[in-house]
Amino acid sequence: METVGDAGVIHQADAGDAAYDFVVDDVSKVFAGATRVQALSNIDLRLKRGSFTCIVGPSGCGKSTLLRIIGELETATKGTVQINVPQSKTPRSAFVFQEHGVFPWFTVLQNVAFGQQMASVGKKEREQNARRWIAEVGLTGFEHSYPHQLSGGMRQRVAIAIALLNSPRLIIADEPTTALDVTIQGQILFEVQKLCRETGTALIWITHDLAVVAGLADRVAVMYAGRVVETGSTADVIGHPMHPYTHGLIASIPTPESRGRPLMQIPGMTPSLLNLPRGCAFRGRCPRATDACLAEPQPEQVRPGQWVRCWHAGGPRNP
Amino acid sequence: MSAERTSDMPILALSGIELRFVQPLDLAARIANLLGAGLRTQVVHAVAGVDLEVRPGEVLGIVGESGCGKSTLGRVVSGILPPTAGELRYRGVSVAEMHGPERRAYELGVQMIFQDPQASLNPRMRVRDIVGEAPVAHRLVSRREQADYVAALMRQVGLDPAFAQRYPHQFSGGQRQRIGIARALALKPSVIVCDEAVAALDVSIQAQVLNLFARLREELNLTYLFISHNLGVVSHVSDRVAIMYLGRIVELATTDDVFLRANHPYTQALLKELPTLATGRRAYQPIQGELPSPLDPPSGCAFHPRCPHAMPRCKAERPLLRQIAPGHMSACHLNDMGA
Repeated sequence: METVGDAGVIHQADAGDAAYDFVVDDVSKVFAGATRVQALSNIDLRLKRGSFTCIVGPSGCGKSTLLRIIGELETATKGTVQINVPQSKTPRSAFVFQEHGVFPWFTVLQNVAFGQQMASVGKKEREQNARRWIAEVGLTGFEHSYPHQLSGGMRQRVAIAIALLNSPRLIIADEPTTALDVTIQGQILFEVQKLCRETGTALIWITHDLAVVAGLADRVAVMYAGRVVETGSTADVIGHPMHPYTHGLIASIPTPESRGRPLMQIPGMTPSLLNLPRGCAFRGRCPRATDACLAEPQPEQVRPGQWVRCWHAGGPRNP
Repeated sequence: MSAERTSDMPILALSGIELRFVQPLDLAARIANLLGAGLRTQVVHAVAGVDLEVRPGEVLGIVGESGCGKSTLGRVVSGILPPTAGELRYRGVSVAEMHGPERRAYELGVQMIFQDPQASLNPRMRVRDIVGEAPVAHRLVSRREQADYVAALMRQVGLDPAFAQRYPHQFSGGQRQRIGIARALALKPSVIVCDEAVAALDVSIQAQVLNLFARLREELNLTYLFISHNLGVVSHVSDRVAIMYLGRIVELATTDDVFLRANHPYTQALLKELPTLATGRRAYQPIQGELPSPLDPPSGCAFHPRCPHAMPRCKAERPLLRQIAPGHMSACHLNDMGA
């Protein structure tokens, strides 16, 4: 099914789950408080080591919740997350958040070494390790600076060095570059991706802007209202989007060529997770919606490795 | 009005605009100085000599990395910050010399839309008051007409007038940005300064707001100053683009000239990193290093430490913004080499 060397997500387990290093199986999450929020519904993801997966979706579609479940910060209401990597000393996963998690009262070196200090690694060894990763993210010479003396991009690099230090098997990046300039975004993304390839670490990157990751990610999963609505290789999803939401997302990116013309826009807003519509959640905004959409669409394979949840999957068409 | 007579006259003209932020020494530093520490006041040249003309009805994009002074420039233009030096002219009259009704006309005529709609809307005010307070205070409408006026504005920006009694937190991010737009439009401005107005929005919502900007421009004959770090957005909306680096404009040209025939090495480097949907493996050639601190800008051309074509002259002498083709200005010594 998958071509040799292709790594990343597929929607359903054909080759057997053992072939993948990270298996997210039918995960659902309900926040049941005063109101019931269906944050995630039946998510299936498969990841391989050294792969770069990008998760795209609007705010509030559940992408952060999914990553918190994969990173064990949250438990799933239903479904499992398995990791088929032989047990070793390395931690399962490390996070990089939008707000760089660095201690303001520590220097860069102390910040990076802190994790190993907590793991009782000797001072000499942990400083040596920390210096190595500081050099890898290009901050040599700033070891003794405090976070407030660094720019936003540099602070984010410190957070990345902290994540990489213990050689985790999976790095989960939750919109880590959204607050940065486009110039710095690409630069950081490129470097992280390179380091993950070299160390065999899987990388999941959350964003709401496909253009930033298009040239780098192996696979893309598009989320909408708590569901993965389309997934496939980056070239397939961006080159031949089959779900109407993905198509709208790609067409609404402004470019020099779109000047003077109105951008294609998806009407309306993301539905509230408090009160999801019956059937396909995109139905209310979808130009292709029919009565069939009142029933929940199941993932369907449209091309090898590309799966879509839509009754009317197909390329862009004129309304 | 004189502006109607001469439509070619720039609606806004900036000459030699400078803005310096000075941080005076605090008590501890002054005591340390008595003991011979030799600390000096810190001066940030946020905007260091900008000459710019904005023509009526155009969209001028201002692009640069964080900290290059583009937002500060927007605040100077909209009258929030008075410039330290230089002259700002609105419809041909110097703003510093304006008084009374003339001054009022400028203050109402240039409105601003901010990046973070959450932070720029008063959480304790209802939409009716956020949008309707200023036009009543400035007697553009009477209090009796306020409700109708607000409803018309809300319809214009694509909000349901039934929501006028709601508070900002009851809206989504895109809707809140529409409230900010309605608030700016309420004063019937001729110029709108958009400071990263779509940066906080999702791509699909961003497209809705950008289309709204385009529609309002047609309907109300607005002039926009569109400040953003996102080259894709700027290329989509702008007629002309100014590229800023460390408080100065380094290149100014039509959007086509900037995107197809970029002259300044900094612009060329920025364009290389324009995110596109091309899915081929990308090899990054990132601009070396990051923006230097405006506290201590490099000598000569501020870009020379990061520039691949830097020459000894770039370190010694600051290049001036000169015309290199009709309507295409650039500040780079390389342009003297070919001549």
